[in-house]
Amino acid sequence: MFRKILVPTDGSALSEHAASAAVALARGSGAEIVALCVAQECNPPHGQAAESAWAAQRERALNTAAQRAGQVARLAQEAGVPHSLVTAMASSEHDEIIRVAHDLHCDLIFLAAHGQCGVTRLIAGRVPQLVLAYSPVPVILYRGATMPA
Amino acid sequence: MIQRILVPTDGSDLSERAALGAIDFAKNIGAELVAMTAIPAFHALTASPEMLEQTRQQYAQSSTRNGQDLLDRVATMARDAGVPCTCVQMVSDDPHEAIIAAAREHSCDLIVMASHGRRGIKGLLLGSETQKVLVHSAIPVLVYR
Repeated sequence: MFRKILVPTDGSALSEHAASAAVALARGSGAEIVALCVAQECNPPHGQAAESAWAAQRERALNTAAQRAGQVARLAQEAGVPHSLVTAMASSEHDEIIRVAHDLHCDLIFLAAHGQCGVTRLIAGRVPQLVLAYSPVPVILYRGATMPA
Repeated sequence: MIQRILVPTDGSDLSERAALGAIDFAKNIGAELVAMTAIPAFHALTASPEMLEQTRQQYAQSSTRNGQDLLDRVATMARDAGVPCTCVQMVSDDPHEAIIAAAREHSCDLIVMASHGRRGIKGLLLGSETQKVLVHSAIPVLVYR
């Protein structure tokens, strides 16, 4: 069955709930977790001064992503679930999620239905929808109702 | 933990793949299944060939039989795998509504369904009923492609 679950997070509260649910699922089924956070890539500006500011910003974005993925890894740790952590930077978040799932041989992607924007009237946020549309593996979309622990 | 999984089926190949996945998953985590299918209500004014050719009673009988066949297929596969499976037939013109209602009535923790249904319009990234379930479901949805 599902042996390796990719859990992308964007640091939002719903992402965190989704991660808890993913960890609970992994614990119950003996699977491992890959915690992932993708930082947004932006194009480098022109000019010396702008470039160093850009480099600093990239650094910060990667650190934030590492922290967010670390949060998911911590949840897995506390539950005694085998886990690993991936931080990435890409211009297309959903493409990166799918690439990581493929490269690391994950067989399930478990993610929150909404990202930071959290507009609940939509089917799902843009990134979850795109992951769902192009994922080579099954996807669980977590919407916020708690699964019994 | 996930204890009861709703598996809507419409008889399509993709829906059968999703059902097989659900059975495998349920077996792995010790959950039970609720297999369901939704039959459209009978309408006198309709373009549906089955409804045009039959009386209300005949339609009810034949569509119930067809629905039951679909459910029996899932139930048999489930039981062969040692997974408890209940079968539920709903009558509804809106499959997504029937799915949400069934999930609620049977206290399911997860819905497992295919990304596209019988109509299988490949131009859509996601089938219309799956989309509607995703909008209205309070519980997680596992989508098989």
